Amino acid sequence: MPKVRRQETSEDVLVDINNIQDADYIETESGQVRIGCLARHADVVESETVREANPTLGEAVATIGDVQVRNRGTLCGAVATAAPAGDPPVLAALFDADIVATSTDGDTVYDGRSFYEGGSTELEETELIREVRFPALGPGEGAAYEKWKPAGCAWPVATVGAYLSTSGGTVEEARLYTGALEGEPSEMADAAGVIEGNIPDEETVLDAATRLGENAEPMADADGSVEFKRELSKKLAKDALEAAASRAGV
Amino acid sequence: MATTDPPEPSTHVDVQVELNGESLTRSVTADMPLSQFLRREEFLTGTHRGCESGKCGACTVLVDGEPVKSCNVLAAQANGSTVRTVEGLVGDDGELHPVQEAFWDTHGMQCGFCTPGMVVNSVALLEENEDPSVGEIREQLSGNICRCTGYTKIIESVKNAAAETEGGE
Repeated sequence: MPKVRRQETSEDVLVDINNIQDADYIETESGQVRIGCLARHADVVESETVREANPTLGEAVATIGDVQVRNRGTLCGAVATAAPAGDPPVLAALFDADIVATSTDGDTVYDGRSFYEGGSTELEETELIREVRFPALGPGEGAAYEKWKPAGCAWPVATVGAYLSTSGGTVEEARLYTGALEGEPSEMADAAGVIEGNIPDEETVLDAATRLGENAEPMADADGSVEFKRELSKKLAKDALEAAASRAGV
Repeated sequence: MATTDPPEPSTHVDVQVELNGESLTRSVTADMPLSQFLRREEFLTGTHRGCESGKCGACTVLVDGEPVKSCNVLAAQANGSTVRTVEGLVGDDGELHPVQEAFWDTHGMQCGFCTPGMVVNSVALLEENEDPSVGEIREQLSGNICRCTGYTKIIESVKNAAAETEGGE
């Protein structure tokens, strides 16, 4: 839409998908929340299904853009657009969402964790994302998404998503992703590794958050220096990990 | 899966909208933003085009009652919808909407460029929430930028509109 608006594109054909029937669903099936390609951000925010299955998803989407943007924008559209500082790509990667793309050849399901590479996606030109499936979180699992933006409707400068799967108070699997810092979702495996096999106490969380900030490779721009963004991401990682641990019941 | 032939691409699209209470059918170019349609085709120049990048909110209108940035919607996509612009807030007798009245009385504006978007988005808020908190007003208006930075009076205007509406009913 921005390219059309600025008359920067001269495609021969523009297809409006808004008339596809029954594509605005949000439903739970087989332990996943399935979000159709016409479900708006506002629908995700208000969805009781999302709130019950994966509250972090709804909370994060509630911070996208502003009221007007959330009334029009769709989650599937934002996953496909892959805006460098967009939240949905980070959420798709963090939760390893199943991204269901369709074309005249049928469906292809992409993994959220490997969908983004080099500022682009695995989508073919002939494909449309018809559904994104996020996991419903169970007992012992917890996630959180923290972001910082300089103004209400601005793009975030840094975001951090955390996911923990725990058993008996110990973290079995940890995932940490940053967004906005490096132009696409970046997995911070080294930082996440610090927590795995451990109790997420204050010291461990601080260690992981510090590593995340030190390993991040943000670009300096009008929003801040490299040092500023690294410090910012440490703080976001600490908050995200603490919230995720608390939600996992640890 | 496809059971019907795809529609033939065309440069113009027929659009039927209920615009400020009036039913219209118009032929628009396929790539025309709703903001441009409102201003250039329907001469409803109260909808301001500010940033043309979906950020400033000056072009906010209500589509089926929901606030959207009309530069982010094609006129063709408004087909079958009810569209309400700042002009459509005024009563039949020319009386200002209570929100407009409150912005006037409180002087919730400086240069006035952002005012139509602020007013329309505030109307949407008050239609859902009769007595919003300052936090809720700020959240609702976070997509509307006032370059004069006159936010304090704008938020006060919305509070006053809410109090006025409550008191009047």
